[in-house]
Amino acid sequence: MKEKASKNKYKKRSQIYSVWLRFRRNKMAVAGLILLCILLILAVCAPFIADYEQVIKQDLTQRFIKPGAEHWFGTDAYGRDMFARVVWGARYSLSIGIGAILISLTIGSVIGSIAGFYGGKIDSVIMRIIDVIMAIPGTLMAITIVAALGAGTTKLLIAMSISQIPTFSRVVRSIIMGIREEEYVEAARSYGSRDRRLIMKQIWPNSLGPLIVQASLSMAQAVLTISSLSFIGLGIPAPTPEWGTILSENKTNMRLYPYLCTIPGIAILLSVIAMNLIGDGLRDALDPKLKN
Amino acid sequence: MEEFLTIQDLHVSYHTADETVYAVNGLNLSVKKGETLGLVGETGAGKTTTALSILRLLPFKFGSIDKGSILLDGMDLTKVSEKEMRKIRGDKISMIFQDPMTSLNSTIKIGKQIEEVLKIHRKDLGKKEVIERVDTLLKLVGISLERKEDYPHQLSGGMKQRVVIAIALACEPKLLLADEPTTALDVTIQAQVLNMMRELKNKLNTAMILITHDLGVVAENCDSVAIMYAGEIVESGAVEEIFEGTEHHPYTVGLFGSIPDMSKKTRRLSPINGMMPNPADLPPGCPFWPRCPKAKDICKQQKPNEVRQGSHMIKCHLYQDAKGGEEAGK
Amino acid sequence: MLKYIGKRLLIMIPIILGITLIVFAILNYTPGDPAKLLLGFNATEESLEAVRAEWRLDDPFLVRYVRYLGDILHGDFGTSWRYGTAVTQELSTRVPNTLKLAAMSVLVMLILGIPMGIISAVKQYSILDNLMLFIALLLTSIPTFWLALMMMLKFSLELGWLPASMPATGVVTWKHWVLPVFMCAANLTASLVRTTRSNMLEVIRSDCIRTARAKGATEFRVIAYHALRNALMPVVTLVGINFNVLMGGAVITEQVFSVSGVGNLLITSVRTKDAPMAMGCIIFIATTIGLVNLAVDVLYVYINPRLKSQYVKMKKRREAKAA
Repeated sequence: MKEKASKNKYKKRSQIYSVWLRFRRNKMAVAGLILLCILLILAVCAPFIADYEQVIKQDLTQRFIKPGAEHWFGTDAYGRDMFARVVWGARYSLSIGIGAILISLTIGSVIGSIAGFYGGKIDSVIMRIIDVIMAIPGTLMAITIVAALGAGTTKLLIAMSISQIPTFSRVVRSIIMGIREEEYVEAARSYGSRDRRLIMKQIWPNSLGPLIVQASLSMAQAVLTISSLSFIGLGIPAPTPEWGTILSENKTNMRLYPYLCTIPGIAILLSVIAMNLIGDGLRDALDPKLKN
Repeated sequence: MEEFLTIQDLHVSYHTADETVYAVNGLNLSVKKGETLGLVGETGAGKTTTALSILRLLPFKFGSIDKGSILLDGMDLTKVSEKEMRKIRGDKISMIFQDPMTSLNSTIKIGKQIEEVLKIHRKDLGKKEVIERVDTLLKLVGISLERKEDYPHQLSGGMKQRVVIAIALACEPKLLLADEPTTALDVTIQAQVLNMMRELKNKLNTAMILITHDLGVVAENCDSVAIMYAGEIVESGAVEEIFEGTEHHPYTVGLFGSIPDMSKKTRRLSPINGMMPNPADLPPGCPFWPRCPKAKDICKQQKPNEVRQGSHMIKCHLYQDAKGGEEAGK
Repeated sequence: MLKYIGKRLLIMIPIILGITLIVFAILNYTPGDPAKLLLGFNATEESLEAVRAEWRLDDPFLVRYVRYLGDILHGDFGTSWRYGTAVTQELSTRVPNTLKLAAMSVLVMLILGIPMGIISAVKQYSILDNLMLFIALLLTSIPTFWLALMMMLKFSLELGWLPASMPATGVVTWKHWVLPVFMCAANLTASLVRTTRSNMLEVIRSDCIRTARAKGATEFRVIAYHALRNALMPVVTLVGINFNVLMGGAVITEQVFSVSGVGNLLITSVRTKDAPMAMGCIIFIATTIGLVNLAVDVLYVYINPRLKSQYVKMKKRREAKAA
């Protein structure tokens, strides 16, 4: 008995392990993972790097200091240290991105599972609603919700979550639908097993992969949308140091002090690249056949 | 009759990130003008690879001819330039592929697909003559002319294979490589297509290499046979020599043993045990020894030499002793 | 075919109705008094009441929604709460700009994306391939508004070649469009490069390409005549599927470059709670997306011989039946 259990454990681990091995061989994906880890560590450690007071406190004697030893990324029009603002920006941008994806992943999975499980009328009603929501561009949906609720961190989080729910519902539903049609389910049904329980058992191992891939790619999109919304003034209002907000504040001084705009933009670019690389790497590692 | 195509000591391998697969290992083969050679073997024996090597169509950067020569009328195909090779493909040598379902371009009308090969190789033909030739070819393979405007998916499998054959024969090639031309077709269609191929071949006096694993097809269509195993020819000779006679390679014996024989009532089929060796990791010595019922110690260490008696060739240690003198005298 | 188009148009109606309901609800149940918006905060209670009565703002939500739908059926999209003019009138001046931006972006994306994808596939694993993939990665990951800022910095402020935004009044030249179009097309160009590449790679390895090579066709002919036809078919659908992403991007683009288009109008109306105007913009955008998707599907039927012949066959059968 004990032996059997340990064998099962070995088998399970080896599956995840082999995905990890394939992922590890992909240099770009590993680079993305390292990059994202660095950014996350910075985001978590932001309070130890700079006091939030200093991040928003204006000091007009310190305006427009070019990047140097004292201020690594220079200072902005209000004399605030850009390095501190960009690091705190990571905290805002990434946490809203990750939070929105976690929320929409959870709600989306539940909705998708309900549609997939029950099928029939419930499924078609849910799917029609999702069709309608997906007919509106995600950015527009987020804009409308933000506009209705007003700008602010929580409101942006809600808007981003709602606009991402349909994607995840679809992924989960199609996985369940796929499992229903699998031959082993047919086989199990043929000897009288209850398929709902069977499907339940199969969902996690089967949906984990595609969901993680979808999550990391959606997260990249979410970070882009969040910063875009903040940039056009519909996201997080100044002086909160969200990356898009920082760019919006500094664009008028871009001509004379280009570093004010290049650095936060590179921060967004790097984090999105990292997420995309991880997503692509995971997809290839989960399904080696797909890779050319 | 003179030898038209001679392959000597051909080595072909495929390279992937993880391993090198040795698909063809020291293959010798020859085809005379107008002759049909049956190339027989299990899946993975290297039959298709051999055919693709003759046309130099091995997957780019992935498959490579490592050693050996392929002489066509005295010209070494492994050494000619890519430009020369393009002139040969579809003109002097053409190939019929295994799966007619996928070997035609689904977005181009079939008339145009036959036309193309003429436009490439018969530049002296006028527009009208090309169309006439396409019509003749369609008649030849038994497809009505109004189907010229059809797309491949509108044709049945047998018809598609007829189109493929029409493309292959368009320039009256000297050598036709037919890679399991009937495997993907219904049994009833198989015979039709094969009969048609045989007739056309005789009419045009084309030499043919017929790749198959169906010994019945070989008996009906071929003048000579080569049995292939793990990238080598293990036995070859005239059809009668392979299908009759007492001295055979154990693999040939195994192949014949695994088809049902209606004349003998109660005997069970005796399939060959085991699997083809992994071509990325071939055993030393004779590649067949792990499955050979008559394997000796020497088989595990040393590759057997080719033993010839007239046109019959066997590559096996069993016959090495009896005809050792002959081999040494060579 | 007409029947198919008709059916698709019918399917679009409930989707657009659904969208209007959702947006109407969002705008309705959030704080903000439209009457105050129109008259300003100093307005008297009486004048506010008058406006509310005029627009029947105190009716229950569903009553107002149904009335709104009824008006739309008569071609009346309502009156802007902010400008006091007809929504259709304001929209009609904005629509051409948005359509121009979207059309040019699709064009740029096809012109850049497809050749890059082909080169990448044909020269797989080469430096060129890696370069193309790297550019594609950058373009999918770049925040387009930041790309726009950087382009402004270089081409407008430093080199002075291109204007940094649309003029509020005056002549708009092609130069004004260059930067907005690039910003709008950037993300999708990247996905086009990737799709073209992977389709091309799949086709190049297929049997029919081997047949073409066995005919003695030159490599150029094999790629340009045989492979491209097969590889480009899925690309057509990609343009359709991603058109809503493009429209989403267009909204941000219009805002960044102050293009006077529907997206720009939408953001202003949504900010000022100008519900009829916002609804008009969203209906326009959703309808455009629906129509473009339909057009792409119809086009797909025409370029894909398999579907086309099916359609012809069905038509013949129908005719035979009728006769």
